[in-house]
Amino acid sequence: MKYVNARLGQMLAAEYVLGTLTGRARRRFVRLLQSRADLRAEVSDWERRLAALHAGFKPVAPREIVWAAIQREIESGARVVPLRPTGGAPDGRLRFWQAWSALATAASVVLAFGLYREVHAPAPPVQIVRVEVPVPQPMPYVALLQPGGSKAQWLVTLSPERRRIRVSGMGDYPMDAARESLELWVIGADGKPVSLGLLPAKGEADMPMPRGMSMPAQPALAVSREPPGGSPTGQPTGPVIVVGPAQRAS
Amino acid sequence: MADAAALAQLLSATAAGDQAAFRRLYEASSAHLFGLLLRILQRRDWAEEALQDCYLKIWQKADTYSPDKGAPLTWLMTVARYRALDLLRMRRPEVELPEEGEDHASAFADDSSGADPEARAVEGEGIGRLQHCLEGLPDEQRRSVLLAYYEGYTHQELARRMEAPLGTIKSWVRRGLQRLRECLGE
Repeated sequence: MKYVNARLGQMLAAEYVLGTLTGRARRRFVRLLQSRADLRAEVSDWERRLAALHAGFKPVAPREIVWAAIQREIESGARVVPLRPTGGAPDGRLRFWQAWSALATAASVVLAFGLYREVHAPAPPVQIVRVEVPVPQPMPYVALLQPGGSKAQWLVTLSPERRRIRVSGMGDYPMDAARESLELWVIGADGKPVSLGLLPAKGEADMPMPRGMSMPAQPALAVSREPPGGSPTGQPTGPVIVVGPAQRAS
Repeated sequence: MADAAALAQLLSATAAGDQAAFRRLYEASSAHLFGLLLRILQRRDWAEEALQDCYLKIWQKADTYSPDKGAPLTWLMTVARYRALDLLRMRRPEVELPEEGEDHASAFADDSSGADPEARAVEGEGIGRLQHCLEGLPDEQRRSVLLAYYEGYTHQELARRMEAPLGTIKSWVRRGLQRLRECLGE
């Protein structure tokens, strides 16, 4: 995936800014930006060109509770969006475990994601819960993956019924994101890994389950280090940094 | 609209950790960001969540602003727009899996939310040169670009909305952007 062609680079930058560059291509482009000053310059040129369109958005005053929530987060010392505490902040970890134990007992993974926020900013704008709770669905599979030798951990929930995978990452896994990607696999009944997609460099991500994939009876998940953009062969090519079972939450 | 010099000053005080300045920055700019988020995300709860994310990020990254990134409000709105797009893609995934119950398409198939994006763009002041260039585009190219910009539509969503094949949409967007670039003199 080399953007040797300058014209192609320009077009990708334009579509990145416009927003029509999506999914994997967008993620790959964002990674590329870290190492390519020429593309960064293209992006800021396009941001400048299109900035005049901002005037087409009509200002709307937000409700006061939003400021209250922002202020609370700032005063609590949290500097980043939930699940991404800088420098291994211990309270971030605590929140993670609070959410995790809630997840184990509350019998609703979806609810737990709402809880991250609720625990984090305990008050008004917690509408996620109301929005996303599906009523009569089997519980998703859950796995907590913690590679040795790093503070990184990923909470993965797979919902075969909804064909969705959600990953919440915490802590940085030490690697150069411009040169490597982390790929998530499910180990099938036959022992063969099937790719579920790339782990987000930070924070949370939602991914669709690969088409036609069915969950093995006793699934295990694994993460491997791969070239940027993922394994070129469809099978893990780099070292596997963690393997763990996925279980139905109950 | 708050004046640029004042906002730039508030941003730099924010970068130094001045919470009172940050509050004033929020007061002066949040309605602009919220209007953008609401427009693209179409849901108050998502827009509020995104607004919170944006200002936490601004609180943390205020020091990365520099005047060469454009006027302060432009920079803030650019931050917000990217956040809106990310959230939109996460929450309104491409409908590529037919078995996935909900019909996301219906949510925006009939856009009854009022003014056409073109009309909105034209309402804005200071668009000047860009507007002139937009007007020079063939209709479908201009509509594709503006719908992507103001509604956050993907190629697929544009294809549904404009009832055209995906390949055609992609080339409208690409050509539209190319011509804008040429017209803007670069």
